[in-house]
Amino acid sequence: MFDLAPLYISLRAALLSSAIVFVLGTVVARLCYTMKGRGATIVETILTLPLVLPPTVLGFFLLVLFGRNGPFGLLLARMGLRGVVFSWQATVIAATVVSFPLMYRSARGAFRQIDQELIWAGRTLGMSEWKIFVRVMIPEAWPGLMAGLALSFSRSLGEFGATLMIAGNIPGKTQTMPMAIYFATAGGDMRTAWIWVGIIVAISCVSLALTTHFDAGRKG
Amino acid sequence: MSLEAALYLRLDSPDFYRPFVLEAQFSVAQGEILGLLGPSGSGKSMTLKCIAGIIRPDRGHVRLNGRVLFDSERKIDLPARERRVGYLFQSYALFPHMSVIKNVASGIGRSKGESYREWRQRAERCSRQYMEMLHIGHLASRYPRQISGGQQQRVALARLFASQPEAILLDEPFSALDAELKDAIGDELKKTLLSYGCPVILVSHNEEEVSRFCSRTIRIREGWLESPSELRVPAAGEG
Repeated sequence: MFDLAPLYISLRAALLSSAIVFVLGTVVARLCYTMKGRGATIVETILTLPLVLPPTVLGFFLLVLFGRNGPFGLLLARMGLRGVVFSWQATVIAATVVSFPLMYRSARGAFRQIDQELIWAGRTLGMSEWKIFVRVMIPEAWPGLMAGLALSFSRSLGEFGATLMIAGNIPGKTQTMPMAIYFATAGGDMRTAWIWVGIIVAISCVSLALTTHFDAGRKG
Repeated sequence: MSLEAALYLRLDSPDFYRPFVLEAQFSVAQGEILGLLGPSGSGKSMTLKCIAGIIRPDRGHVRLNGRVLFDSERKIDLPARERRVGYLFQSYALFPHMSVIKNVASGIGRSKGESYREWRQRAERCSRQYMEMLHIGHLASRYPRQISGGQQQRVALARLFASQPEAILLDEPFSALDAELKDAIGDELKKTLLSYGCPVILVSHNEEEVSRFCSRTIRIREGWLESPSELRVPAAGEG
């Protein structure tokens, strides 16, 4: 009997992390939108760093931060969530961190393309910054935001290195599809590996097609 | 009751051959339409943007009906949102994702103690009133890209009036309209603006447009200059 658990675990991690990253990336991009100068460069570098760092390095940092004695680990323990490392939540955390820069950069790019006069029109009409954000900027940037969402979803679905570091490879608990492929191949089970490869390629094609679709809608 | 402005703005940009300096002092009375006439690049739009709070001048002051909008010495710089200065952009800057009526209502804020429903009803009533006045009532559910340039301008104006500004700034209001439409709209726009009765500044590069439309004209020359421009008119109440 073929075990579908990795599909479920991967989808759960990808869907939850995409939802988190969509909100977080959009809001952070809006907050950084008006920043200029050296401060902006520093923030920009930090926010984009997860995109260029090797996933194992990210996983290492996450392990330090979320470990039993790490700052976030202690914080979560106080909130009643013990032992995040090697739990299914860890797969979500890893996916969130690696896909955040993709969403953030897409959102930032989409916001930068908005006609400044629309924003100034809102301001001279007395609209609050929040109202301008929700009613003008988000609808204007929508295709770009959707493209960012599809991109981060694909990225979190394929997440391997950081997940292995912080969530491990526990079948039925933290074993995601990329993990299943690696260990099936390593164990000589090519049939299982082929099935997972096929599923990932199919899902990635669909979400990439969606990205392209939304990208095309950006101007028009 | 009037709009009073004294502005000094110096822009040093690597793109500019020389630093761009704008020095302007003038006042506009209630119900007066002041024309700023000058070639493009002379600083007309920049003057409007300083008054609206979009660009910050280096020195000077802007006062509207006794309120200080900007004063470099007293370190007052009200954000555009709080200035109550309506700005008609050259491109009209209608919100593409809102229907005409939503556009018109977008500048109607919720007042204190008003329930959400009361606010929406008042916004709708007020928007309808200005849309009827400008003959665009039938376009309420259309989107900006579905209506003509002349209609778009009316929507932008209705939106402007509905936000209850205390001064109105028009940035090349006729540039996006063809000549025929310009004549048809011009007289009516003037009548509407005069009946609203607040200080109005109109910026244009077209002499005939300004002389037909405005009660008083100031010329801006030599956009690229280091000495003060010709834009120097003693403000009311000043010697």
